[in-house]
Amino acid sequence: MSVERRTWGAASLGYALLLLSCSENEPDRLSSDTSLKDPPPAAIGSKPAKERRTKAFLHHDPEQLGIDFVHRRYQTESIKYLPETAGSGMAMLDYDRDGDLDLYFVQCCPLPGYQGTQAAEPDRLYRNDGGFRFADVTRSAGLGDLSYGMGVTCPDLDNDGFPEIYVANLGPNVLYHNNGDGTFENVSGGSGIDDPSWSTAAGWVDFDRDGDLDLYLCNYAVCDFEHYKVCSQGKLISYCHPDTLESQPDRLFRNDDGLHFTDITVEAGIVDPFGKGLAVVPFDHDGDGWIDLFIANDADPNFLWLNRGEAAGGLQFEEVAGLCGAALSGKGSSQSCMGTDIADIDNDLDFDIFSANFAKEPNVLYERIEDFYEDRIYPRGLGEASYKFTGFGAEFLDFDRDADLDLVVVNGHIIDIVEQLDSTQTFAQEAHLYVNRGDGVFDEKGASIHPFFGERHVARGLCVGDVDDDGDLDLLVSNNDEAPSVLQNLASESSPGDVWIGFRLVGRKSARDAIGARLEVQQGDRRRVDEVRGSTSYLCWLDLRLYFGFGPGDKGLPCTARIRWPSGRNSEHQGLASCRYHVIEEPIE
Amino acid sequence: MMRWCLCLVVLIGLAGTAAAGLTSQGGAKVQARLASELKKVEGLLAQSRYAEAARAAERLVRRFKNEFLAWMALAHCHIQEWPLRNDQRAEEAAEQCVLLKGREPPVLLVLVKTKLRQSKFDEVLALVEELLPHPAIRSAPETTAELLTMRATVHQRQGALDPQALKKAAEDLELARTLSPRNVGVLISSAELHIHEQRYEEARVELEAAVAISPGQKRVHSLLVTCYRHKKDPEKVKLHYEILTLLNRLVDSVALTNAPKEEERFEILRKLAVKNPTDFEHRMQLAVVLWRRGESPAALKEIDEILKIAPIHQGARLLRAQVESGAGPDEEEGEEESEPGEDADKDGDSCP
Repeated sequence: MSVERRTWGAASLGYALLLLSCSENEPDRLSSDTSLKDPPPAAIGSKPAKERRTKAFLHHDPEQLGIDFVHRRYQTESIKYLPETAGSGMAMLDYDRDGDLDLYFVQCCPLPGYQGTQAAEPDRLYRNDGGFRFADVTRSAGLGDLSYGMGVTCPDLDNDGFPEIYVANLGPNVLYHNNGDGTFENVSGGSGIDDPSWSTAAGWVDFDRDGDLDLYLCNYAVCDFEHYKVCSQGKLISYCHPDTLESQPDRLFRNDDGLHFTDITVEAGIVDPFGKGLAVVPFDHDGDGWIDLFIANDADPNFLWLNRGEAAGGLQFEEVAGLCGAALSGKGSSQSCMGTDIADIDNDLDFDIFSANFAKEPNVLYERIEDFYEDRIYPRGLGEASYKFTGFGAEFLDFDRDADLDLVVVNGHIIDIVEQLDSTQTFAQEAHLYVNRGDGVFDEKGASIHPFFGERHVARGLCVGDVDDDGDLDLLVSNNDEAPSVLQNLASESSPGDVWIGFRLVGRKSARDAIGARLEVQQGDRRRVDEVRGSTSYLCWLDLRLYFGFGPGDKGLPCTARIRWPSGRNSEHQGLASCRYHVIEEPIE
Repeated sequence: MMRWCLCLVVLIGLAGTAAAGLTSQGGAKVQARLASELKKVEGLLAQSRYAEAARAAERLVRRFKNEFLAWMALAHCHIQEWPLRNDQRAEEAAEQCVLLKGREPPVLLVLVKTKLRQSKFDEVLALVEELLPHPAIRSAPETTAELLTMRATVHQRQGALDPQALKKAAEDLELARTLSPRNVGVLISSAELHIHEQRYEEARVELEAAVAISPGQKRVHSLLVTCYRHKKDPEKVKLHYEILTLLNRLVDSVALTNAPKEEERFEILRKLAVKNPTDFEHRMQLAVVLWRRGESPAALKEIDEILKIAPIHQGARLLRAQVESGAGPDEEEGEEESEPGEDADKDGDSCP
């Protein structure tokens, strides 16, 4: 592995001043049941030159917002390493605790054999300055990883309220500790999680309920630059099928003291983990309060690692995907599962699993039926439209706040010359917006809702979160070898009568991020459920807040929230006002 | 494999009667060469070496670009169930056959399957409408049943957004069942419709009937796993999932050829014989492998087991005669060297 690495020089005076201003703005610790902030008016005051608005979304030119990041895959024309077409992800995090979501974008770098002229560029962190405006604070924050980056996650590992940044790379992974003053420190060395493999996704859960977040790390395959087999179709060099690469095993790490970890893969029963993992999503499959994991594997059966918890006398996992119905497609075949989300799509208060797949195989929806899962992609109306497309980022969200979850899937083939090999395929592809009819059956209507869904991109990551804190969910898409796409949701403007509510859960006995907490919210006779996850979609880290739309209704009718915390505690919170975010701290008796 | 698909064995037989069409390319010699190469493709398919078979068929269509049988062989390779199959290529090959022979039912039957695989539902419905009234189809109840089953599949998949479509699917399947009560495809599609509507016990009954007729179909085992989950029968779930996993490994190996290496294949087939003893198709493959390994007594024992299950199995009887005669197995069909000047597939090439 000879991935080029460079370091940034000292921060400029301007960046240093910015840094000081960040620390002055540090908010107080928020107490139970208080409003994080009132929803500000929609931030569309000054319109960027290239913005395109429809009723549902405002499609921004990212550069006009201050986001000048452009992803590069650094394609080696004579070899075409598979990682070049796999990345990269991004994150929504509140690194400075000022209450709004900042953005982190993962970048690639030249690999051996690269003959292009593009210089290496670092990952980037953009501070949210409000009004949908961002500032590049990469240097001043002490960031700027120059590895060949894949995914990023931002858990609060030391429970100080400031999220760390963990970048999964082709090559050693990098852990940045958040100093709490707007800066980060690279603490990878000695952390125990600077895995040198080709890592992709990272899932953070307090598996052993000791109050800190442990790590499940998805590794993909062995990428041996010296003996890389070039694949071709006639005279055309092409990216290889994943089966040409040997799988790299996943790893489980126990958090020892916040920033130091121990590899417990084998002793925890994570045996034979030879799938090509591309997504890891925590959720409580069996409802026992011990958080389990779904792993989406590329061209291999998926994993569902069941956390045996106390029953096994310690940290023990069992792989049950095959027996539960979440390993294979409905046709009984392995699929190329990539971006994944888990949500209650039909409001029956249990969780269903969705994974986006490769072209010429429909996406997969493992719908929860009794104690099992069943691929019901066609009965739910999600099959036909997906068949031709290679799906990556995938997220359920109630984009129109009508009290049911819709689905966005962003697409893009992995072979840059696919048009020359298959007349039915294109490298860049349209994204899909599947609208929930209200009964858990979906209809793909993207292009009729916004022209963005008729545009073609080589899309990879999809992040969903309320970037402008106006009570609706915005979309960010990371595109391979191009700038990201930014869609500001206008639901708060176009449907001001909608009822919604949001939550940020803060663990106290549980790890502070409360990943795995289950929240059931009720307004009148309407009940909805979700869990805090962080790592969903593809190579991304999302807004940790939970968001529920209730459609048009009585804004004065209070809501009740019932929470099962990762520690095993339960709490109930009544009389919560709608149309705002609530911060709820875990009670300690 | 659906019965309506033209079998390569039939194609090879046809090759013998196709001499007239080959005279322009050199008569008997060319005919013999085409038949020989078709046999190679068939041999590779019989061993689940689909990627190699597809490459051999590609060479075939380059050499015999005006030969209907060559294109049919290529289409046939890509309508098999294997992960790297190219539905588009199968469709192109079938379209080429249409150009060479016209809209003959055998070709249109291949074409309709490739379109179904690609979710080209409107085109599938149009082709089914074209085929059903054809005299050759009307006189073949099995084929009619299979076409109705395909149309039912389209209706079922469109059923999420059109409740009437499910009713149409049920009607088609009912008619198909009348025409062909023991058709595995009809049984599977009926089971799928029951599962779609969450009637698991009814689905299970259909699938048990299907597995009794065709015990080696992975789709049946996949659906049985679903049904037995709901029946809360973990032993049956485990059994059918293990069989499904083994069947998958026969076509979904990490090897570039998408077929496992010979030793691994041997182990998979041995396990399948234990887990799914009535699956005489895979037991036949095991018998052939044993014979090739020089383990004739074990091969004969395996053939005897097959003949207990299927006493009139012609292939098993033939194989037994060959093993007993002491003759060695034919040379394994493998990849042929490309001719000079041809655009050869290099080692390491892979289908995207």
